[in-house]
Amino acid sequence: MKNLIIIAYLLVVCNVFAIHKTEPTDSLQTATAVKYYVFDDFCDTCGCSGNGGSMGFGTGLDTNFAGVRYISQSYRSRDGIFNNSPWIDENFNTLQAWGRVPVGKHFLVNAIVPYHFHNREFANKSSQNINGLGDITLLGFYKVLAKQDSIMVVGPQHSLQVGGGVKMPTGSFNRANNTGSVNTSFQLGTGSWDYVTAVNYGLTHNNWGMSAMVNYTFKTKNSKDYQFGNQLNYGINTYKTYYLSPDFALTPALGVSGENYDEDESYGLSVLNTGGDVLFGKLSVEASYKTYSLGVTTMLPIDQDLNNGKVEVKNRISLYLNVNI
Amino acid sequence: MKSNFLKSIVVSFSLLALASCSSDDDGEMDNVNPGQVTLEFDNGFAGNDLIIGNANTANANGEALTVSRLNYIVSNIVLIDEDGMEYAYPKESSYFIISEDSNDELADNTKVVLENVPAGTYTAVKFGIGVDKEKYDQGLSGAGDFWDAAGEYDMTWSWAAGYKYINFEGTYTSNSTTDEQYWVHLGRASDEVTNYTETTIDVPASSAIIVNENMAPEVHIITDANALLTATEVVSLEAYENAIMGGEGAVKVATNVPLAFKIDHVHNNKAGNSSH
Repeated sequence: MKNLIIIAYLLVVCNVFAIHKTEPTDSLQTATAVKYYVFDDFCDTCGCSGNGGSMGFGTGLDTNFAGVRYISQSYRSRDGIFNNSPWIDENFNTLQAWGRVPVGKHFLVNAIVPYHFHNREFANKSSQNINGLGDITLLGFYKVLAKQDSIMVVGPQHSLQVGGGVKMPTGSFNRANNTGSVNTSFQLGTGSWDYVTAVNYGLTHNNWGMSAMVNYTFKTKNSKDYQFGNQLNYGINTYKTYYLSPDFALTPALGVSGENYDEDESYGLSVLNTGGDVLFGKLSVEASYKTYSLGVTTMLPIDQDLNNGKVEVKNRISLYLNVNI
Repeated sequence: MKSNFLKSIVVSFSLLALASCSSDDDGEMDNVNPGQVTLEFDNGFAGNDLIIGNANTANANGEALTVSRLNYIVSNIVLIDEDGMEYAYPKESSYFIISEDSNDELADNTKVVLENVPAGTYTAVKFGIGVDKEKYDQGLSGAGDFWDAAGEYDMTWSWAAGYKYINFEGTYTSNSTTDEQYWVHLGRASDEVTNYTETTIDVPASSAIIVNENMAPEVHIITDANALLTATEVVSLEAYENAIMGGEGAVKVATNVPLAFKIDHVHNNKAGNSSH
């Protein structure tokens, strides 16, 4: 078992969902290991502030992991101010490395490093691409309740983490991107120091699990005098793990998640047609082999009113590979 | 603590008084750090973009217009700041033709660029539609190049009759007629009935036009062509035999004209960083 852990350390992997198998401090536990997820897939509607916030700052678990994830977000937005102005397609792509390490017994630190490559095509068939490093997010969590690392525990287990952190302006913000289309989020970063508070909750019982999360990002004015609206993310998931063999498990999950945005401000004045909200339905499947997890998640909007209806999210898909360490 | 608070209030008032003293008593603003302001006129039709040659949905009269030309004269532009102070753009430079025309030889004009506007935070724009009596009374020599420019865009009759303030043409279809040509030419009818109108439009709440040497704001104004015939006086083209070029019809259209304009949004761009 120790060897497996060492191997896992040597491999670079990633995951949107942190998967927790009970830490095998005792070999007896492996047989009854229960997968323990928090699916918190929240991407920002904002291509720019794609800190993966809803993807799980915290997974509600004690698992430590490293991984990479690819996120594709597809939008359409009005290229103009009229009801019959043409729609343009916008594709936000993000490749993200993230990981989590424990600090002491009660704390966790999460790091998320995104690389964005976004593109859009205007009504006149001209297109625009932006790519580069996004905003790096660092978060710390305090484990208010932790899942018991003991085989002796019977019945539902809870975990609760409370934390917060900072999203740094490592992604570039260019005002010129905000002209033309009404989607102000066609950016690599918000250009501002933004502050995050987050709560994650997890519940498992037998092979069933449920997770819930809520987080809020306070955004500040950037050096170009633009301020993105504050953002609320929330989500809830249920899942069940099927153990097909001692090493191989499949976990389908179903959930909903939502995002709320305040209006943006430019030079201290509110920006028309910004802010809004969206609610997603979410379906995921993850296959795990030993400490590796390979998963795919798709999110489809159930209800949305973004940018006064002038921006619509079509879908989000993420693909990830994780190593739990 | 209390005396400090009082002291700060006294100091604040003194500063306010000093600041008030430094501004001109005649209500004109000092022109420090002036900037450029662009007014962009986006012609629309009942919420949709106005597309020349495309049929629009039927209006309140059941007349569905296909517009081939929407030209109008915008004049006497005044910017009003958050304190209600008015900056009038120099009158001799304050006449502009806005044009969207099926005639490809005529360049579309949708933008009015105002230079050297005093720094400030403006929350409303006032302008005239047409040519005011004072300008008209200067005679042909006072009109300068503008008369010729207006002529190119079919915005003039003879000098005696003067300018067309609005030239709005196309075809319409109703229950009783199909693809019927129409003409709406608004202008001065007599010394008494000038049909020149002014409108004051506010920027949307909690927005503003920020002017200074580093900024080049763009004010996006929607001109609703549908409103010209329906805003308050519902004017049927058929009732005026498809041609409104004076008389009662023109007076009614002139009543509607000030209501056809609104500011959709303001882009407070940095200077040298224009949008669309």
